[in-house]
Amino acid sequence: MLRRVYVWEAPVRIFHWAHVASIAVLAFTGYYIGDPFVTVPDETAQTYLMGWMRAIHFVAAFVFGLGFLVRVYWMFVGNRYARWQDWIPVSRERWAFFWKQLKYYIFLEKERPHYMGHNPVAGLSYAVFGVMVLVQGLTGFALYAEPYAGGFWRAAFGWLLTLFGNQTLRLVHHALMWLFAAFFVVHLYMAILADVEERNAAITGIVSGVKFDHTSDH
Amino acid sequence: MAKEHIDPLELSLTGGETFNLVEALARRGVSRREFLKFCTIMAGVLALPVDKASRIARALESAPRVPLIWLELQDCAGCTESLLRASRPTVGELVLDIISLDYHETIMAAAGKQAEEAKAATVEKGGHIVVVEGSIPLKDNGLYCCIGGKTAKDILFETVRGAIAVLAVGNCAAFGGIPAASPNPTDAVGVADLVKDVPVVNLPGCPLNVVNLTATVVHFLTFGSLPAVDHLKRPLFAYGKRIHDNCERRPHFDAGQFVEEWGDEGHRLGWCLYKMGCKGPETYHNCPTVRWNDGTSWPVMAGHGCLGCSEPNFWDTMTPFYERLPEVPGFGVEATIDKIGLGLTAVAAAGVAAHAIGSAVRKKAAGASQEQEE
Ligand code: HEM
Ligand code: HEM
Ligand code: SF4
Repeated sequence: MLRRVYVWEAPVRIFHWAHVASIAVLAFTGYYIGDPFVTVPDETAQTYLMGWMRAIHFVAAFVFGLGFLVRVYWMFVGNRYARWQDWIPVSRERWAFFWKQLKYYIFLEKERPHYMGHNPVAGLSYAVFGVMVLVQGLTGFALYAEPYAGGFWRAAFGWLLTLFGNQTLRLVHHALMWLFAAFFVVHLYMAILADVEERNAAITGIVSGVKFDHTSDH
Repeated sequence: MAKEHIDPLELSLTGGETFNLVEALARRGVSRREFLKFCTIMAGVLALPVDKASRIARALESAPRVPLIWLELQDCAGCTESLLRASRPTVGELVLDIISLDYHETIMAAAGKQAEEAKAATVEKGGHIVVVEGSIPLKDNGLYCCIGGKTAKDILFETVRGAIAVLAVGNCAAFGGIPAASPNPTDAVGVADLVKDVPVVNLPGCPLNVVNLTATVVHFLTFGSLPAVDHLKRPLFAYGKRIHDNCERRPHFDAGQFVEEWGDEGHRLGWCLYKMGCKGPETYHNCPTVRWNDGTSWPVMAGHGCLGCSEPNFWDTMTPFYERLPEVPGFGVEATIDKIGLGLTAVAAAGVAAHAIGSAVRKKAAGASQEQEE
């Protein structure tokens, strides 16, 4: 029997797609900021390419940051698939499932384990993703604070500039962009694999919120 | 109006003999008009409203003499050179000289015992300002820099006793500078790392811009206090703004017009030096506004990127000077972060492709065994 289960509530889906969109924009504009590969030969007063790249980067950065805050909040008030325990395995049972799923992925197990929410391997990858968001956000906002000698941004993130210095922060911020790219490749593949192998509409699920359950005993 | 005027004589400056500055300047060929011009420039450097210029003039005219001792420790005399660089002495230098300068090894006429005695006498009286140029080596009891048989550290502590303030000029005195660059063979440190009981103001730069030293002294004589400083003890009037935010090439940065190679079309057009490794976006200094050599020019104006010389450990943190980003530790010189990152993403893609093939094979095998069972 096929059962429709409402798994991903609106805040989770909004967070997901806000992040997909903002990260795409941030990576593109960020790459340009790091290596301005287009030079505009026109009249200086008529052009503002780097200016726009930076402005768009900052707008996307706020979407990125706010989206993440919403998701963290939802970890505590959302449904059982949205809990933080789905990202960070703490229970013994979750760890057991984790190894089972990992074995399946590396071809040591034949049967694909079944989950309604995140499988524990995917879940842990989102925890790693969360750390990446944190580091990228902190380095990004520290760089953002740089033009200000005082005020809110300087007070909130200036300590990072004092602690690490601009060049290190930039290098880390730039390196993280590539980690996001690598995450994207693997994540997209895993999502397609899950969709194909479980035939549970995983991908449409992260759009509509609904996944299909083939096991009637659940 | 009268209330606002603080008579600098009210300040408890010990050892302050008053004298007529304007007269002394006139004797050296500086007119009153030039003196007032200087006061206006000082008001500008200190980011004060222009009408404060007259207050500065009044204060300087009746200022007591504040003896100033200039120490050269583990240095290259570059900051001294910066002080002396002009073809003729500037008004600022003369003011500094007349108001203050008592002891400066490189430029004083006296030498040897005589000079040392004069210095000792000044320190004895107290109430002096000490300018330190150069770092202080601590390794092996400080023997890497000894003058007249004394270590730099001992000389420093001897001289700052009873001082009103210590002005650490140049990156070396402020943060250890080039001697402290990795691996810091002499264990060099800056003044503020050692001196705790006398207020220290850092005036880094490689070299120091003398305008900022003069302005700090003028601020002290006018207001009776040291200027407000940032978390690195640098005066905000000189180090409160980023090079990048005051740079005349900034419109080219925002427009997306960059020098790609020394001497290319963009370089000749005065475009932004960001891609040539300019460290203006991470450096706080007033070079773009006060410039150097009597306001003639400054590095970026001359077509060379900023090296970040007013920032701590610039020799380690701002290098490579001609690259935008530092090298990635543990990888070769040629490996930029983009090459490494692209490689990582490619590895991820290859892994995913291999896994996809594996999964297809597994599915086929599972299908075949199912068929067999049926
Ligand atoms: C997935 C998220 C993000 C990616 C992929 C990303 C990527 C990048 C890259 C590649 C650079 C160029 C670094 C360089 O080589 O100098 C950059 C610069 C920058 N990013 Fe991000 N970034 C992200 C998020 C953020 C966030 C959340 C902020 C917060 C405000 C931020 C603020 C900045 C700032 C201020 C700069 C420097 C701009 C400048 O110097 O003009 N970024 N970003
Ligand atoms: C840069 C791009 C992306 C990032 C950073 C990203 C990140 C994430 C994160 C953090 C989650 C966990 C959701 C949560 O617990 O709130 C997730 C889940 C999911 N994402 Fe993405 N995602 C990206 C792109 C995509 C794309 C393009 C697709 C589909 C084509 C996709 C499909 C899914 C699916 C199906 C899930 C649920 C998977 C599960 O059950 O574990 N994602 N993604
Ligand atoms: S030349 Fe340097 S300081 Fe000036 S705008 Fe370009 S990057 Fe900024």
